[in-house]
Amino acid sequence: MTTPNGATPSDSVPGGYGLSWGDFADKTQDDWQADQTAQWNDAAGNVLAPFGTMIQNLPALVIVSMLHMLADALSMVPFVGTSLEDLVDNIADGINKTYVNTQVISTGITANVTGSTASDKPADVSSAVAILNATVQSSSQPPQTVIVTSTQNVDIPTGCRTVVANVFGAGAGGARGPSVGGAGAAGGGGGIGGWQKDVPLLASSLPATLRCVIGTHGTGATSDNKAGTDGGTSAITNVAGTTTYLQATGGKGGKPIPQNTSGASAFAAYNGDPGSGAGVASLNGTSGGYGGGGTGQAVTGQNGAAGSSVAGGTGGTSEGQAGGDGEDETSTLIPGMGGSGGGGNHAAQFGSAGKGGKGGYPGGGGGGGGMFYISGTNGNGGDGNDGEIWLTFVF
Amino acid sequence: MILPDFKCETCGAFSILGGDVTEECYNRNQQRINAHKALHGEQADEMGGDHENLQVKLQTPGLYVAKVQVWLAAEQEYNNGDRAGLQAEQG
Repeated sequence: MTTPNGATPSDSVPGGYGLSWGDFADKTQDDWQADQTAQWNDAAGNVLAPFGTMIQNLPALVIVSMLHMLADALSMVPFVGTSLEDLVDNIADGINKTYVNTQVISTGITANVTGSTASDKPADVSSAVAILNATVQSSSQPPQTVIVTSTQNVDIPTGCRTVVANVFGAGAGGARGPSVGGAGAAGGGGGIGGWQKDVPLLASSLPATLRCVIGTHGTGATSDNKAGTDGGTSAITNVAGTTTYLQATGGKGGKPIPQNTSGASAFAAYNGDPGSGAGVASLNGTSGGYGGGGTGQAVTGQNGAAGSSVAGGTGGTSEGQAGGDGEDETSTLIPGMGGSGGGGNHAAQFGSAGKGGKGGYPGGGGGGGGMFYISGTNGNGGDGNDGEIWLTFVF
Repeated sequence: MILPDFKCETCGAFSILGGDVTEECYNRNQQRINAHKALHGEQADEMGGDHENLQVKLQTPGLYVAKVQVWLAAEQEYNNGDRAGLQAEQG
């Protein structure tokens, strides 16, 4: 073999990292690859096993990305040396030390990462992993979340690879009962808006600018025997609106309950249907509850799909109370439904009914208006709430 | 009413795009903004009120780690120096 400056195969390679020139003798490309495989197999036998397996299975595109990440990471390496040769030697020296100690990690990978020698620092694997994770993160931006509250165009940021979208349809309005009275029951509640939940979209398959359309809430009925209006559809489209990438429809308006209806199962038929998502991972909401009946018994509105407790209006002594508003559920993003208004008092046989509560946010349905018993006025249906779109840009 | 766009300068990762919205929507999103800022306030308090350092940590975690490494190295050097000085005093 040929060695520089007349060195013999047993001489150490400059740099002090444990290799002699003989280690490089007569190596073919196949030898190098076999060595590499053996090294990863070694790594697979220790705490780096998952990492080694992952590296071995990486497609070329990911390796290219990792090289770019390495370049970014090297931007943090301080310049040590006065010539290009020194810089390259120092980088090679550092990389080699890291390699050596990934095979004998118990002697302290932290020392390598911080650029010190391996022998004078204790092993601290968890610290090393944290630093490596942070280094990987440094090669990219943290995800950015954007809440879109009104219909508008949104540019996808440069470098974004995936857009994770949550699209909420708007909630519908509640109904108002018939003019003949309704034994103190309440009108049907509006339906909750549909939800397209955590849907990932490849940025490469989307235009540079997205049109985010926010569905408008349905309104509660304000005249007797009327249904609430439907909630609007929220959608992500192209700017021209000709291509829809994701949409969640609004809830359907609650329907007025006939005079002689009684029993929860019969009431349920008059609830507005929930909106629906058109794509994968959609989650429909639940429909609204009922207010207090003619006996003054309060009936609690149904909860949001996973969340908020919503009080129904209580049957009044002379007038039904208004249904409680649905809660805004900012942690689960599942809104409460508006409680339905309390019906007019049964015993006194007169008294106006309460109005339905407003749906929570985003996309909660309004409660149905309470109905009077013998004489009085019905309560209006509650309004639903608007839809919304959340976009998380992942780089 | 007009809800102005909000982009968090501290983390750079949270935005609200406003527009012509209802008063209810305006108030709700102001509450969201206040809650978000309060969260960063608590995080900054945990770092001794150093908002600038929190900004570096949240927006460029790699650079933050590098800064911490520099601090640790300086601390180690300081400790080593103290030890050497102590050993010298002890003869």
